[in-house]
Amino acid sequence: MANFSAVSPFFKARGWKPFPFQKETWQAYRDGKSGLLHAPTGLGKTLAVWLGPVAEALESQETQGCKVLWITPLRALSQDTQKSLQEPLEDLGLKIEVGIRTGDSTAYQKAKFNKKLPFCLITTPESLSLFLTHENFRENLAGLDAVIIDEWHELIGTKRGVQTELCLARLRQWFPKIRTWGLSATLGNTKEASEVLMGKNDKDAVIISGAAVKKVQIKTILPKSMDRFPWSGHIGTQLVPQVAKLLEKKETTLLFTNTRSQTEIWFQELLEHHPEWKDELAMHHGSLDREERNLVEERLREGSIRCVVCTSSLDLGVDFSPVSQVIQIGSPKGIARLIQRAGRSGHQPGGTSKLYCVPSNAFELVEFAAARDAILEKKIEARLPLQKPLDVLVQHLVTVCIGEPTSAQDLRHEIQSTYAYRNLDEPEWQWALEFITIGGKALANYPGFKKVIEKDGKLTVEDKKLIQLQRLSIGTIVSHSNVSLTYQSGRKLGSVEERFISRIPVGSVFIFGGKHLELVRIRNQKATVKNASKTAKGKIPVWAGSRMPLSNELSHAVAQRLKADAQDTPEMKLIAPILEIQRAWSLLPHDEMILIEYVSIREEHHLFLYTFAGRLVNEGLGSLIAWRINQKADLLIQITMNDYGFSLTSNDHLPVEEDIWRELLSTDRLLDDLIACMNTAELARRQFREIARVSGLVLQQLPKRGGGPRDVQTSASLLYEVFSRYDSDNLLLEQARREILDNQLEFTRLKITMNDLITRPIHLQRCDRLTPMAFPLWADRLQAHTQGQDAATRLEKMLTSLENAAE
Amino acid sequence: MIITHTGQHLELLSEAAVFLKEHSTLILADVHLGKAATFRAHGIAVPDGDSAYDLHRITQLLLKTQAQQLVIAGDFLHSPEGTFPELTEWLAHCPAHVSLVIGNHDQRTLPRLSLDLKTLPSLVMGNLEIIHDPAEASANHFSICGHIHPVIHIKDSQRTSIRSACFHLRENVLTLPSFGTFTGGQVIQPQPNDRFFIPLNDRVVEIPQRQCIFRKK
Repeated sequence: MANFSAVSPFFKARGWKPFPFQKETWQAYRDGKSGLLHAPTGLGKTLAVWLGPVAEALESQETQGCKVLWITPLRALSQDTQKSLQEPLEDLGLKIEVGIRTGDSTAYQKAKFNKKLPFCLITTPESLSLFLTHENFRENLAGLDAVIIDEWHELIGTKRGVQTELCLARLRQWFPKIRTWGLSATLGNTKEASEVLMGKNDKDAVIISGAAVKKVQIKTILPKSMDRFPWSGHIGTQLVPQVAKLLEKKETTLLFTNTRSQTEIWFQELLEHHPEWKDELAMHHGSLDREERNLVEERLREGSIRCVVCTSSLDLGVDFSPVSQVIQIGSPKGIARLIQRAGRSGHQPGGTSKLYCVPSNAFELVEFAAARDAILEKKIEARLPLQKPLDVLVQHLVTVCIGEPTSAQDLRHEIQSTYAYRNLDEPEWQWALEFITIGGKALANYPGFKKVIEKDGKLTVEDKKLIQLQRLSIGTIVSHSNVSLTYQSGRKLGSVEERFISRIPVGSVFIFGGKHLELVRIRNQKATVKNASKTAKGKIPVWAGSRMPLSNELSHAVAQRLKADAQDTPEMKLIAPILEIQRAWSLLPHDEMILIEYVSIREEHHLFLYTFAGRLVNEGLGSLIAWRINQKADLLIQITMNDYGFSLTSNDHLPVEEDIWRELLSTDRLLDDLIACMNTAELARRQFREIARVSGLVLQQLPKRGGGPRDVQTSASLLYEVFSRYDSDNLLLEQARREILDNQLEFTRLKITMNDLITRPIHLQRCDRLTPMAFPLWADRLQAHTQGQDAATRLEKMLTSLENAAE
Repeated sequence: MIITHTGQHLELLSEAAVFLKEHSTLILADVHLGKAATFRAHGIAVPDGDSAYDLHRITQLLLKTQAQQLVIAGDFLHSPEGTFPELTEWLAHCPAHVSLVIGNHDQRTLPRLSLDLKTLPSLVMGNLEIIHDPAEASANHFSICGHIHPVIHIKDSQRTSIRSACFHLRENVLTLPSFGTFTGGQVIQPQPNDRFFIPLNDRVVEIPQRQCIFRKK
């Protein structure tokens, strides 16, 4: 092993000793290798990769020019990252600049970095893409040694991850010798995660594990009695008194919830219990103003706070060493996530992570028991990479053609060096080229289109307006329309969704960031508020997109738990009476049989089927079954799903015969049926929103000033119709269907589930009332979607019934 | 469906237009010809087809109703960038006399084209006026207008609703649904005494107000 004396003063000054995985990483870096380093949070991954380039700079004393690009998924993390990268520099007496360029940077900083880059530049995938549109970027990067991708587990499996892959391909094309290093939490598919990051260059890449796994201790806060404990729901405030007890010892606690609304609710409840903790409780979620969040993070670092109620906004990023315990409210949703959250506590070497789980409904008791099983068995989720999303590709092609004109052939070679597009075929490539040059099929339907042009054999963009438009629309994040919240004084509070605030009448009170606020006015995406009296009753905002599915691994573990039906943990002991009711009224389902319950309530007929396959698969399966029923009958069927199963509801009778169900569950024509039922379910149309945005068909965040292109505003669903009618072979439509299949419905998992389902015995069970398992699905019916019968038929039906009622 | 208002008989057509038999006049609004072409001029790859199809639909309607006059209540054209060469040809062969009440989009577009087309800020026929923007309706007329692209959400069962373009009648103002195929819509918040009519299969039906819900996009 080489001598790392160059960096040892830093460790000496702190009385630390480098971990073996850190030494291993330095050595690999010095050998010119690329690699992926995976370890739990808080073990020193950042130092491990950073000190490689730092050691080289110490030896060579080359401190000018940009040597390192540091890609972080969250711009909010960039300042913390900057601090932790600067930390060792002083001890080592190294004068190098660590700069930040994200969407938050000032115009001055942006202009400065367009001229000259610092030794290490911290940036996001979006800002990196933006850099690629500047013709001097390549020149400014001359001398680049390494690209480091932080929190790679957050990016892989997303379009931002693919965007990162594409940017890396361009950088490697320019500088073939650069080293790529990824930092990641441990995943179920670490090797694949590394291959995706490295693309064609993966041969020499190393995978280094820092998983000297910290001990994790998981305890569940048990309700005193199950008599009144809810069977469904996800607020769980019944257990507030017991949770408050845990906070009495004045040690720092992180209280994680699954949604921002839940964060607000729990904060209020804790405060009501202990008004004297007013200055010791804080809140942290993604909609709060950055300043506010910084303040909370600062206090966490100091250890001057009793408890922070937070969402996944504190899942990522640097450490807050003084955290002594972590509390999880509601379903853990996934094993990796639970481990990550637990890892926030117990930072001392050899320390144990302490996690308390608080169920918000009865079945979460099973989930906690199951999660503990899975952690013991090390069954951690994989994050599967996306395959050749064409919307990201066309955006990137325009981006790189702006920055540096390139021939089509070279471009293709570069694109196919990435993992995501390694199998891009000729028709797909031709389509992408046509999309950016002539709009679509030659000589048909796209007159007057202009964007990328060919000049001297190279593809480029010359129109200044088009370049400007492209720069504004780089990125793959599709956000909901948000309204910023400010006091009359102008002080910012954060943001809420337009959907929520538009329903609050002026003068009414709502709760945000733990404050009671009265709405004064809304104007130009800005809501002005003032403080309301503390006693005023107010609504709590609901943010969209907060429903996460239970992971495959966890669903499986839950089914195992139910099958074993053993009372060997406190959670299982406590829930035993409810499982007993389930057994008495019906059967206790698990994953080696199919249980179909049917119940009629108030002239509505409900069917419940349990698969334990996760929410997404249940959504697909529910839609498919409803569609298949409708091939023979003509019913209006509503579908509700959760992680355990799905329910079908209709005013008419639904099939309850075993042979019919065998047919309904058949895997024959599965793909065709699924595509057919998707069209009616309009899933593809919904998915098209993101594709239209990423491929540049729908413009986002246009600046209001000047004669901006207001004539080119439209909705994705209207575009979807236009494409379906006039260019039905357009591959973006195909992509919408494929994304629905792959991502949304998890087609692969659906197929596996169905292949497995048909081998299981079917139990059809008529029930007199809703069973404990059925109840949550029934209670969720407000979220249902509908299958069968087109709008016209439904309207005719409604009018007929109104006429009948009038007679 | 024929509705009678201040002595006028208006036939609401499922093709998103109004026919006045007494005046042999067909009225429609918000065609937005050349919208897709505008997108293409901005480097956004939207296929063509809608504009030609929309003109074809207008011709069909004129033949069906035998109207001698066609009045477009504004926004016939979308933008200066969205030129549409077939339009001159179509105007030359149009079976009815065409008048265009100028809409906000037309205002910017018309100066760039030299069309054989009668244009006017508003058109009065007896106690009826045709304008583009309902905000400009005068108190002493019954107004037919466009501009809004009205849409309603209709509750069709306990928990489901359907979105549909509609004719919206509020006091003395009838707002037409947008005629163009490549046009979106704006959800109307129902007020007391509002009436809503939607195209359903081949006819137009009135939707009782209690079935209409306000929901933002």
